[in-house]
Amino acid sequence: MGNDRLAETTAYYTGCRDSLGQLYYHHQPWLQQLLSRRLGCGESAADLAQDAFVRLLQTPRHLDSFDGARAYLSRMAKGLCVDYWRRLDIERAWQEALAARAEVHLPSAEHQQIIIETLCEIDHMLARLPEKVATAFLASQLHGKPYRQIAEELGVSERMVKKYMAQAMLQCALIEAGFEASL
Amino acid sequence: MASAARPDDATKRRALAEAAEWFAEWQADELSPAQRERWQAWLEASDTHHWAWQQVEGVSRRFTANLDESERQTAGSVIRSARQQRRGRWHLLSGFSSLAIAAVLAGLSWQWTPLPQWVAYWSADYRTATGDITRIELEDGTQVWLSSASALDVDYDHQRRRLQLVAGEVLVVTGDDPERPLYVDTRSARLTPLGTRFSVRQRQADELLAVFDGAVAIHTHGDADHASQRQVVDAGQQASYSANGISELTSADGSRAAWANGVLLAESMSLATFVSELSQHHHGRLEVDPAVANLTLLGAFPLNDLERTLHMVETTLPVRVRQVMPWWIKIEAAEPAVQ
Repeated sequence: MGNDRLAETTAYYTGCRDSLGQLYYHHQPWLQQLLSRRLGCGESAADLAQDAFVRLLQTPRHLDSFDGARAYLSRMAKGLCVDYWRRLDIERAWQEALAARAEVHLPSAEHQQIIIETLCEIDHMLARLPEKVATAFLASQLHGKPYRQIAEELGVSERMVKKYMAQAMLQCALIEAGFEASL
Repeated sequence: MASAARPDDATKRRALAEAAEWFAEWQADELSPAQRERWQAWLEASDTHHWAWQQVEGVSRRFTANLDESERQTAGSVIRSARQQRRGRWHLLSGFSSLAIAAVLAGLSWQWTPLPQWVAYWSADYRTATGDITRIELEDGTQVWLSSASALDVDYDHQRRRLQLVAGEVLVVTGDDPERPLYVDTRSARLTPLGTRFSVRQRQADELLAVFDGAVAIHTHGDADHASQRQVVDAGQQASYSANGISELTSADGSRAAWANGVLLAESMSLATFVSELSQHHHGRLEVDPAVANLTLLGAFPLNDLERTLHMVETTLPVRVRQVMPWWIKIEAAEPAVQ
C-alpha cells in the first residue's frame, strides 16, 4: 500500500459530503471486494457497499484514521452480510409459506413487501435470543397463546415463560430504542 | 429516536428492563387492581419510565401492525424456519459438503404442502428432516423407510393397522398379520397392500405408487366432481393418482426404491429430473440451467454426499457446478473446451 504514510494522518467525518467522498475514494473498492468475497456475488456486494456509505451518511461517525476506517468498515461489512442473509432467509421462507397455501387469496405485491419488511424487523429483534426465548415470544405476540400453553409446549414452568417474555421484550426494546444497532 | 441522551444511558436501560418486566406481567394475566396501581405509579414516576413504556408498545406494535390474523400465523413459522435455516448455515459456511445438516421445516418438498399440513407434519408419529432417511420397524414386522422431509402417522388397534402418509414418500414392506388388515392412507386415496413391497410419494398435484412385490389396491377418495375409483396395481407396475382418478399403469421404475439405500439411481434420467430428485434430499437451492436440463444421466449417486454427487455429474456431463451462494448451487454448461 503506497499511500500508507498519507493514510495515517487521514481522519474522516461521514456526515460531511467531502469527507465521506474521501472515505469512499480510499475504501470503497476494498470494501466491495471484501463483501464480494464474503457473499460470492459481485452484484450484491456492490449494492451492499453502497448501503454502507448511505448508512454512514445518515448516521455520521468520526473515523480517526485510515486503519480505523478499515476496521470499522470491516465490522460494518460483517453486519451487512448478516442482514443480507437474514433477509434472504426470510424472503425464501415467506415464498415457501405462500406457495404452501397457493389456493388461498394472495396478498398484493406491495403488501407482501410490507409483510417481509415486518418479518425482517421481527427476525432482527429476536436474532440474538436463545431459541426457547424467541419461540415463547413469537407464540405470545404472534399467536396470542397464553403462558400456560407456551409453558406446556416448551416444557418449562409458567414462571420461566414470564422470564423469557421479559428477556425477549428487553432485547427488542433496546433495539427499538436504538441502543443496539445491527453492528 | 432517543439519541439526545439527557437521562444517561444506564438510567434508560434500567427503565427499559423495568418496562419489560411490567410487559411480561401484563401479558401473563389481567393485572389485579393493586398491581395496576403499582404499574401506574411506576409509569408516572418519571419521564424516562414513560419513554421506556413507549418503546415496549412500539415493539408490540411491530408484531401486529402490518399483519392480519392469518399472516401472523404464517409469520411465526416463517421466522422459525428462517432461524433454523440460519443455524444450519453456520456449518455450511466452511464448505458445502455438509449441505444436508440441520432439521429445517421448509424443504423444497414443502412448496405444495397446504398450511395445516405443517401442523400435521410436526405432530406426526415419525418424521424426517430434509436430507434424512429413516427406517422404522413396526410391531407386526412391517418395515417403513421414510424418505427425506416425510412424515407418517401409525395407528394400530386390535382391528386394523393404519398408516397415514402425512408428507413426502415412504417405502413399505408389509409384515404379516392375517387378523388385522393393513391400510396406507394418503391425501387422496386408501391403499390396501397384500403382502408386498411398494413405495408411495405425495407430489404437488398427485401421488405416485410403485409396486415391487405383491399387489396394492388403490381406492381413491374422489371429490365433488369425481367418483371414487379402484385399481389393483401388481408387482412391477406403477400408477399415479389423485382425487380426479387413476392414471394408466406403466412399468414400475425400480430405481424409485433405491433411495431407501441412500442411492439415487439414474437410468437415462434427464438432468432436470435428477436435480429435482436430489433437491428432495438437500437444503438450499439446486438449480439447473435450461440449456443443459435435457442432458441424460446414467449411474448410481450417493444421496447423502452432495459434493461427491455433483462432482460425479461434472465428470460425466459437459456441465460445471457453480456455487452462487453458500446455499445456492447452479449447474450450467461447461465452458467450451479450449483447443
